[in-house]
Parts: sequence; C-alpha cells; structure tokens
Amino acid sequence: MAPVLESGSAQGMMAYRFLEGAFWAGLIALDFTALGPFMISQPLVAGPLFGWLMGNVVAGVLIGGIMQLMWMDVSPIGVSIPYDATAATLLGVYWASASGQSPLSQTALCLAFAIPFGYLFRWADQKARRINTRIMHRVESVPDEKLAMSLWAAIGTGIVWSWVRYTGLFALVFFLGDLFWKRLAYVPRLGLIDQSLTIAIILLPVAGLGVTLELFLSEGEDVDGKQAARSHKKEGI
Amino acid sequence: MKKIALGRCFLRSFLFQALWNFERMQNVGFAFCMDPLLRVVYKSKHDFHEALRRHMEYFNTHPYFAPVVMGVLMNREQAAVDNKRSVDPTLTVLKNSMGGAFGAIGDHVIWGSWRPFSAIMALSVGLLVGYPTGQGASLPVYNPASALQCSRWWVVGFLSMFNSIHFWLRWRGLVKAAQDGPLVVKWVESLHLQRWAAQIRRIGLLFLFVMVLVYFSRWTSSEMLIWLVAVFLGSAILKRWRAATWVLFYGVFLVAMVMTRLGIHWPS
Repeated sequence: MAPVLESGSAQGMMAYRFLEGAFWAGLIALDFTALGPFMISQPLVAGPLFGWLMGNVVAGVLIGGIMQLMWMDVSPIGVSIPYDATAATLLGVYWASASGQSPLSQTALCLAFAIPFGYLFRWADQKARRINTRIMHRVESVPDEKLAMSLWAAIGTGIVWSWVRYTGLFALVFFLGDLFWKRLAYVPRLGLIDQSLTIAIILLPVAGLGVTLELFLSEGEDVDGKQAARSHKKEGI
Repeated sequence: MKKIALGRCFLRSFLFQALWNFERMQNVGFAFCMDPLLRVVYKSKHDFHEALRRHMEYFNTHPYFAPVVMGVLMNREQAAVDNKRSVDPTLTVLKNSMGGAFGAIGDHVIWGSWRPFSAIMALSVGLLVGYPTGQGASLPVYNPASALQCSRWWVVGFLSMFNSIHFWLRWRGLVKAAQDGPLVVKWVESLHLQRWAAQIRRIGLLFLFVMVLVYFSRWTSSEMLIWLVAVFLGSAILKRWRAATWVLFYGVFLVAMVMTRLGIHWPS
C-alpha cells in the first residue's frame, strides 16, 4: 500500500508544481504585452524570479543571464512582435528545475530545448492580437453612453485573455516537455555530449556579450527600421 | 480635480497596451487613458461621449511616451472648450504625428539604449558581487548562495534603475504636456534624449568590456582563452552580418562539440 501512496503523492506534487509553474509563468509573461511593461519579463529578471519560485535559483540565473545577453537586441519596435525570449527563459528554467539542482549539462540541454518555443509563443501572440481586433470592434459597436464602461471591460478582458492564453500555452508546453524529459531520462548520455553541453554553458554568455557588443556599436543605425520592416512583411501588414 | 485626473490617467497608462490590435494598434488603450482627462474637460455628457469616441481612432506610439500625447490632447481640448470653439479637426493629425515621432524616439532611446544599458549594468554588478574574481575556473557555478546574491542585484538593481526613468518619463511627460500643450516638444528637446542615448551606449560599451575582462580572467588556459575570444568576436561579426540569434545559439553548441573533440574540457 505504501508505494501506491508514495507514487500518488509524487504525482500530486508534480501536478501541483506544474500548475504552480503555469500560473506564475502566465503572470510574468503578462508584462511582455498587457501590463506595464515594467520589464519583469526581461530574462535577467524573469529567469532568477521564476527559478526562485520553482526552487532552483541557480538555473534561473544561468538561463536568465544567457538569454538576456543573447537576445539583448530584441525589442517590440513599431508594430513588430519580437521573438519571445521570456517564454524560452521560463520554459528552460522550469525544465531545469524539475530535477532540483540540475547539473550544468542538463541546464544547457533544457535551454537548447526551450529556444524553438519562443517562436511558437510569438506565433500565438500574433494570433491573439487578431482576436484583440475582434474585441475592439465589439467595443466600437456599443452606443456612446456605454463606451466608457465598455473600455473598462475591454481592458479587463484583454488582461484576463492574455493571462489565460499564456497560462494555457505554458501548461501545455510544460506538460509535453515533462513527457519528453521522462523518456530522455532512460537514454544513456555519452560523455562527449555531456562535456560539450558543459562547455556550451561557458561559451553562451561569451556569444551573448558579442551580440551586445554589436548592439552598442550599431548606434541604432536603422537596425530598428529594418527589423520593423521585416516583421511587417512577415505579418502581412 | 485636474491633478486627480492626471493621476488616474497615469495609473491607467500602465494598462495602455492591454488590447493592442493589428487594425488600430493602441486605440482602445488610448481612449481608456483619456477617459479621466476628458471628464475634466467636458461638463456635458454628450460632449464627453463624443470626445471619447473620437479617441477610438488609430493610434500607435512608444508606451512610455503615450502620456505626453495624452497631456497635449487634453490641453488642446481644454483650450477649445475655454474659447468656446469647436474641437480643431487637425488634432487627429497632431496626435498621429506626435505618436509617430515619440514612437521613433522611444524605440531608439528606451528600447535601444536605456534597456540594454540598465541590463548590462545590473548583469556586471550582479556577477561581480555574486561571483567575485580571483576564484579561478574552480568557481562554484552551482552555488545557490552566490546565485541568490547575484539575482538580487539583477532583479532589484535592474528594475529600480530602469523604472526610475520609466516612471519619471510617464508622469513628468503627462503633467508637462497638460500644462504646455504642443510646446511640450521644447521640453522633450531640452532633455537631449538622442545625445544621452549615444552617451549611454558608450558607457555601456565600457561596462561590457569590464564584463568581458572579468569573465575571461577566470580562465588561465591559453587554449580556452583563444576559443573564448573567437566566439566573442565571431558572434559580434555574425550579428553584424544579420545572422539570426538562434543560428548563433546553436552554433555555440557545435563549437562546444568541436572543443570537446579536441580535448578541451572544463575546468581547464
């Protein structure tokens, strides 16, 4: 009976952690679009903060620092929706925290796995903003005397909608990632790969410093304009 | 009464982008923030509703400069009411041209300069405090106490530094614009934001080089140092050639594999 109870409690703990993670990740990601922005969603804040909430500050610091440096040049210029470095940071930290104090190679692997999801979250953000257009049309259609009230409702809906979609998407990706990590745990890892991942953790901040150097040297020489133009083209605006 | 309205507008401006949409961008947020200001300007409900409806048109700017535009519009609408004139139809042109200009300034100064500068400052101070130099490659990266100390500097240091300017710009811009109307551009000009941005970038470069030196000094092996310099310069050059960041990111993993194959291990 005891093992059954133990496994049940372990599953309960996992479910609690999973829900807690999605809840906090959804809140932090709100800063990316709907609230402020106060810059809580910047990787160097979001990483350590989420790591602390998930019980692994070290992974939060490592991943947050690397992501901040590597994606230092990413910002919502004009109407462009940038790569979601916040989502990639939060996912990387969540998976790295799953095993408590994970070794360096495991942290590097979690981060490498999280990077593509930043594009998924960006795509979801673009779709969500099209739904925002529909809400906006609804607000426009109300009679004049109800407009002020409708604006409150629209802003409230916008915030709740953003939190719900972020939380839902984080929950889904956390869940799928957990399944993947469980399967991967049974695959023996070669020493070469383990060493390479550890070396990568040393090199990634250096590459990030290179990216930041280029940003500071560029002095905004139409980088912003080109980025915005590329994004407009992609989004068909 | 006016101060309370400005305070409400200031608080609401933090929700300015909650319903950002591709068709009219920040129109809902703009009308939402203008609500308390318009209530002060227009005494009749009909005029207030009409004015609120007018602000549902297309609008887009940098979120931190939006209160400046709101203040200017309040000032102009108040002037029209005081002089018993109908609202100037060119206000929409003024609103959009100010939105565009402040959008460009905000993107360059705030996103392009102030944010990376604050980040590099917080990162370098946090690293120096959390992981002091002189510990060599045997530095315990997985030391929770060091990470906690470092993260405090990152979170508190970065947020307080960045947001001090952010909050000041929102509040001061709103109040000044409500007082001076379109002449607020003189105040914005007097801030010399573009010049500050250039200076900030230069100081940022200095901090960046300090960070590079501190990071590189942890490795005594010349072999490792050569690789670190190559990755640093290589990523800067590739970025200049517009390489996507994910390419650089996974490229680093490839370099790490080559290094391991060559027998370079950590710590060495």
